[in-house]
Amino acid sequence: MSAGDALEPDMTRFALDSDSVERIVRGAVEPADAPPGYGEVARLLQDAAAGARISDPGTARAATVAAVAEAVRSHRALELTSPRKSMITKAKLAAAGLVGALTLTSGLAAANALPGAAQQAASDALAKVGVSVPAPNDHAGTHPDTRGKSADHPAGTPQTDASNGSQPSDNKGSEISNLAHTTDATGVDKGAAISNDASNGKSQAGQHGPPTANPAPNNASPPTPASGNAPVATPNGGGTSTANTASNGHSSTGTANADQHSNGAASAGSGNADAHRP
Amino acid sequence: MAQRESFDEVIAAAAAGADWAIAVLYDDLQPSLLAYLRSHERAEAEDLAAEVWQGIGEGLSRFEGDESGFRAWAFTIARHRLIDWRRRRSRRPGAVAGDEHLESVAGVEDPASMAMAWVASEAAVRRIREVLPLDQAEVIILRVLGDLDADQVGRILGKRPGTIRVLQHRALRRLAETFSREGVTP
Repeated sequence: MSAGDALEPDMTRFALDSDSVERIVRGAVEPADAPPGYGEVARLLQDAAAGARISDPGTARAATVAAVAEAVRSHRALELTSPRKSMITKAKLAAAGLVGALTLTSGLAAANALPGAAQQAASDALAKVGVSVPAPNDHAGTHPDTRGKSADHPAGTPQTDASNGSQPSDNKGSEISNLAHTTDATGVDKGAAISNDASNGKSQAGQHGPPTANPAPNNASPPTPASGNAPVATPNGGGTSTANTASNGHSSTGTANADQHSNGAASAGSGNADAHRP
Repeated sequence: MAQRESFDEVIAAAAAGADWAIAVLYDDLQPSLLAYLRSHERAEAEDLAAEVWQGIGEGLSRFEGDESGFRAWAFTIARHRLIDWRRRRSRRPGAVAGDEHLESVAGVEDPASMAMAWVASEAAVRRIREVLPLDQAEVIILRVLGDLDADQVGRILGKRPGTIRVLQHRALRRLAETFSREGVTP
């Protein structure tokens, strides 16, 4: 039989609910009425409790009562005077606190460890009592003792300069948009200006010929931006011939078609435009 | 407290230094206080009790609470005085416990039965301390001799009431198992 087997019956045998424990401890259970196994326990506790019910025969009673009464009266007398003592104590504590605060402040001022304004105030105040402590800008040398103000930087204005390439500006998009809406440049120049600004000057847009964003679908030949030249000499005197040359004759064909389908109104328009040329 | 005066009246008068009120408190508390101190330090119990009453006198005018609260406060002082006394004793040769307290029962009505009860009580307390671990024994002694509930004992010992209940449960079980092994008939 193992030790665990030996303990198991005892655990069941001496099981006791909390209420029974409480009643036995309070002496409310007679030994004969106690749960199985607890009769002698109840008797033991009752015997022990009996000692606490035996009155003191009184040899020391009168002397103890007199001593307690005297102690009560003397402490009452002490407490009756305590408000004055309390006020004195509070005043002493307040004075000690003030001295402590002054000592701390003076120490920090001497070490020039206070914030600028406080350091200046401490320096001025202590100078009046003959104590020299550094002013906030004593170590500034030739540097001005001026502090930045948030008012110098309007709300929303980033503190970093986007053009120096260090940090991108928070409102770069709005800058670019603003440029796109306000620049006087047009066409390639406008795109180049915007691109240049957006890339902080790294863009080479507009330096290698016209854009070829919409080549003819059947035009197998690649764009020739490297040449940097238009397929005709520009500027030339007539836009139509230039367009015709550049479009391999399709432009003239288109003009004829337009004229045909507008019952001559297209040609008339051109003539009118010529007539009103400045 | 079986007196005609309510506890509030008694404590108010005692706090003002009235001898009669202090005597009422003394008669009610001293037996259990003395039994508790004797369970710890048999030879020094009387002197320790006097120290406890001195402490009660010094703090009585500031005491606020009911009767059970007063009892718990007194036992807290008693426990502190015990600890102080043991600290002092550790620095000097130990005292030998005697039976001087039995001499004091000579003047009572039935000295024989009182002496028997006293002896039986001391034997029971001694048995409790022999069988139980220190913390369990202290809980049982305070509850039985001090007539204190689990909450009050918890405050005196600095433990939670639930811990006190667990300790007293284990204590009773241990006592029962010990008696069972020794063949004591319930």
